[in-house]
Amino acid sequence: MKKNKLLVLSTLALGTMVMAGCQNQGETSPYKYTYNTYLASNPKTWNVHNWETSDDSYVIGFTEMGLYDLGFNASKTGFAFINEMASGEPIDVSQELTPEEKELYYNRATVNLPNGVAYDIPLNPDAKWEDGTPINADTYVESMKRLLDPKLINHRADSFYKGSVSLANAEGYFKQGNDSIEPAYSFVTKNADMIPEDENFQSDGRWYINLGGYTPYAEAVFTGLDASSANFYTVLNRRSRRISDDVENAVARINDAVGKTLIRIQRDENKNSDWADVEKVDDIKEDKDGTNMWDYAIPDDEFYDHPLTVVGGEKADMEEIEDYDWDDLQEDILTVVQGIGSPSSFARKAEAWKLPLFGKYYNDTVVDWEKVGIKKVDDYKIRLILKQTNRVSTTDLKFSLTGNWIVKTDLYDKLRGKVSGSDLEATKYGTGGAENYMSYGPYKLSVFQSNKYIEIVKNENWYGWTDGKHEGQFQTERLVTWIYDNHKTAMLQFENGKIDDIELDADDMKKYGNSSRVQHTPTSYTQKLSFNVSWDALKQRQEQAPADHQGNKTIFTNKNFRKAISLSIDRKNFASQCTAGSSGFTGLLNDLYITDVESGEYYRNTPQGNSVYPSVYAHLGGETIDEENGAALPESAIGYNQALAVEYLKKALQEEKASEKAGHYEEGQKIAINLKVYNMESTTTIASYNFLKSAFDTIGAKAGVEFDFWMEQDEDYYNNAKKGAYDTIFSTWGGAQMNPWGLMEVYCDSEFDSNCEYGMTEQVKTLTVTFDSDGDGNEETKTISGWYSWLNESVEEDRANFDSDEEYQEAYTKMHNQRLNVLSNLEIAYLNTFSTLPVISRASSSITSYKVEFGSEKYIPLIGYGGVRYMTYEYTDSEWQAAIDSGEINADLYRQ
Amino acid sequence: MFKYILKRIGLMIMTFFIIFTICFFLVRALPVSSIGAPGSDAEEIFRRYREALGYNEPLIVQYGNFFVRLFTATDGGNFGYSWNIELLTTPWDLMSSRFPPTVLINIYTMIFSVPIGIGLGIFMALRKNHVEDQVLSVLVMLVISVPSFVYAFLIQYLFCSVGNFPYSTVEAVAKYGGNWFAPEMTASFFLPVLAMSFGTIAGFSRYTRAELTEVLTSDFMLLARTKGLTRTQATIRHAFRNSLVPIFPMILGEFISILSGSIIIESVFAANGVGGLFLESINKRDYDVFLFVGMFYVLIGLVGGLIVDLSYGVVDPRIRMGGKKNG
Repeated sequence: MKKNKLLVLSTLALGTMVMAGCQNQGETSPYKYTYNTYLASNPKTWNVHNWETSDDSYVIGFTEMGLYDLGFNASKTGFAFINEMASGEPIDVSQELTPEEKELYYNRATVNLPNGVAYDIPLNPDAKWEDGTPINADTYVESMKRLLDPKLINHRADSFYKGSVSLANAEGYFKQGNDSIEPAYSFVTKNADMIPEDENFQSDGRWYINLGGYTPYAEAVFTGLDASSANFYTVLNRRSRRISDDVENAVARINDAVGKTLIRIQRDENKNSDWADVEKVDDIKEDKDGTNMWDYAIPDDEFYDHPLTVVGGEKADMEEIEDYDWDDLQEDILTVVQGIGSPSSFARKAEAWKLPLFGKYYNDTVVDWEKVGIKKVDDYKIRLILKQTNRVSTTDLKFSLTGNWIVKTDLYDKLRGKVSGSDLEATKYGTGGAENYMSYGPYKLSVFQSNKYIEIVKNENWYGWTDGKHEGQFQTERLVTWIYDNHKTAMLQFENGKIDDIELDADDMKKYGNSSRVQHTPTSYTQKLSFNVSWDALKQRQEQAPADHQGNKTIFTNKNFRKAISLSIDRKNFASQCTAGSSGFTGLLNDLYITDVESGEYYRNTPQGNSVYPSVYAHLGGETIDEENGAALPESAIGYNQALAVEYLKKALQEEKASEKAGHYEEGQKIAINLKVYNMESTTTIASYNFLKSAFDTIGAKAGVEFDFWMEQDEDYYNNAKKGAYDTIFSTWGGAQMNPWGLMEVYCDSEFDSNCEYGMTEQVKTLTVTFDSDGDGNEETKTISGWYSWLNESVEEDRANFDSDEEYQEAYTKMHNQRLNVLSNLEIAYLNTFSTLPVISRASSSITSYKVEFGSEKYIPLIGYGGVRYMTYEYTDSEWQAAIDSGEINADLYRQ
Repeated sequence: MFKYILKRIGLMIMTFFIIFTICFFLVRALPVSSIGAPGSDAEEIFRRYREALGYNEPLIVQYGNFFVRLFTATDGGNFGYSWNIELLTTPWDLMSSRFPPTVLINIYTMIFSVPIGIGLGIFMALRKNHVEDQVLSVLVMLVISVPSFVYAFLIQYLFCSVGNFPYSTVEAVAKYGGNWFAPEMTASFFLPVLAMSFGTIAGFSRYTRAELTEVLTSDFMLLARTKGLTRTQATIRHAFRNSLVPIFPMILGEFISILSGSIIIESVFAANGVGGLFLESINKRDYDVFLFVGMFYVLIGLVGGLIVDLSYGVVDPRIRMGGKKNG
């Protein structure tokens, strides 16, 4: 009987599954155009005040709208600003602030303000929440009050007290009643004892050291530092000259002591004897409590017994250090401060060791909300009053306001409460489910099933459906987002027509790389082959090379050799065979960089940007070397000319054979190139290595020399490269698309420590470039370093300084062109050293279903392919299902 | 017996706290880093946030605070909250929302695979050393030797890529919400159940075969036959019952494991159950979730072990627990 029951139960379970499998799939949906996609990870919150990751911000990308947004320009070749939650342009009211307002926000009724510190933003009166409640000036002011609420500690609060839109007194409001770790430099006085002026400083009586933390002290030592590099680490490690052995050793000990203490739980003890390995800020970030701070209280049993080497490795100073404690550290900091890092007024003070340190500051100053720089002007106008030092142009302001901060305050407060067992208050707004959130964009969140499914549908209360300004936009009626943490599963769903896009990895590219449905999303990063060009370092490496990789390395210092290597790389094929969507590239700044935000001018589209390739490859198009009159290498070749590569290699070999320097290349020697890589097992790395090896072997065979190109795994290869312990590496560099000027720092600033072409740091101080920068017919000469400084110091003209638009425009254009001339000539000059060989411009790739078409076939910086705003549908949902069922759409179709 | 159970429960509680303490200290000792750059305001906010949550206190203080909150919290956050997986959700809510797919997949797997496994084992024992037995034995060894996620990928390929199987768990969940017994929901479990069943079927069949083979060759079986019982009667009434002594606790163990998930199988079939939650809580340093989920399974394991031990005595009255030597 029991057996029978078991049998019946099993049969029932199986039967249910099978019968269920036969259920009719037919169902009706009120939506015609549904876009199905996926996320790999569940958003933990989509509260605009508290999101942290891109997955967190996914939902608000559809359900919220900035005051301004970016759309296609009329010709669909670039971007243009669109007024969305704002009804018009920001109006600069800096000169219209009343004495009362100045007193309130700046504590001085008579303060003279520059333009660009106060703006009125007219609001869109038709904007509503998804439930129909109007959105007005109160919404903005009250939402900001919650964003900056000191009790909530919102992750996004800093967006409005640091950065381009720093509201007056917002920082003080946010930090009041709380401790924060602040640099001592801001608090110590210049009088005899350098006692911190503010009694709230050092509220816990302790000093902290933080090599990576911002301190104005670093700015006092080195001018021209940006916020990310103005720290004690920079002061310690970016010195361009030796001061004294005492200072050098003090620097080494501080680096070592802080590094050792912070990272000892993760590092191999043996590595700690190599102090140069522990000086990285990145490592220090791995502190066990995540605060990147070091308490002064070194345990008594903490000591070092290893020898230290003087920076530069010129001599071994075998000083034994034992029981290195707080007093020693304090003394070393004093040595450094007095030796290299102090403005003169501080240098002689015995207490000068305080300058680079930090202390806990208790912010007990009460800042009333009224003093924070946001106010309601009328029901549909707000005024943003920025910090006095935070001038911002209209364009930059609009960029910053493409995001928004408003929340439905009644719901926000209802979901708010104190967290038990902590000092924190928190809100569940935008967390857990659609009922905890209110949308106001073109779409609203309708379902949020944690870790499973997100449904976003058309928000009928959005002003854009009826304002006549969004015709033909937002055709999508519903977005369905699944959570698939397994890429293979997501890929199967795509192949079965259940999701409409998927990001491709290198393996997928083999299958779908040639599909017409693949889209490449470029990044601003250029991947380069960077060479060690220091004869001394290479000679040493040559002598110490392993027995099975003996060969010449000093030949890398020969520019013709590096030119040969560069010309031997078929970048187009490299990109297609070794990467997922990247493209062959020969410059330092790729197509994404914008040199004029207002007009949407891309650097690569300017005459100056266009002049770079022809200037570098002007005479490299023939089959023989003719550096004066040789044919130009066409841009379609992307720097590839194998025949000429062989000729340059032969020339380099001849020159090196004739050299009289010890360690030069000799007849019959192999050329041994060691490529250091992060991960030797990576498919991309293996493919890249094999590709380059084949290219080098080919030109070597033709030039009569054997290459020994071998790969070695080194997870710390970037830092080893900076120390000269390498032959060649793949280095990747890029940055903010709107700041190509600053990006040149890595190549042109001799004090910048991320240059991966060892030996070039010194050269940039002496390598001169001559050209007519200002178009006056006269050429000017400066070092690369000098031109870079000029670029940073030159500022484009301000409209406020001119009487008429014409005068301003003329002056602006002149200065802008001059800056472009300098930028392009810097790029040309550096590329012409062939010390770094750009290979690809990095990109990611995704594939999109036949169901939809994007607004642009071409990637447009800052707006990509147009996103959901411009997406159109080739199939309705039912047509798509029918096409899948009939086999009209299948996975094979995407391989074409 | 009663004293034995009390003693085991006492040991269980002690073990639980030792494991809890180790887990508590180890997970909080893991390095944590802010998304913000060193020295940035984002990092400073991160520091303040952690400080407000008490995570910057010495570990021993945090340990004490945990128990204070456990017994004093009035907002339902006695076991804390998730801060990195789903903001402000209690660990229990988080775990319970992911339980249903995990539990159902495991129950269906048991219902499906235990009878088949035992049946196959009986068949193999009765046909011992025949071709059928040898073929099945090889297959069983093959299946046991290969990890279940390999089948998962194979099944995914055959059913989803080649066969276009129309159901996925995550889709069914989305469609039917809390209705876990909707037909389409059940159908969507077919593939993960299949993937998990291979190993269970092979395990039970191998074990049953071994036990039954041994019993079938016992003297009492000869006696049963000489008493005049048919082979079937002797096998079912005597041999199978005796062979169940070690198999029954195995079935019980299988029931206990119902609550635990399979990280890879859930991931492959997008079941998004409790399996991945534990891993996610470690990766994201979601301390309260990690401790809650981790300790839940520790408790299940400890209770399960106790029940399995006690079950021996129930299945076979000859086995006595906690007995002492007399005289």
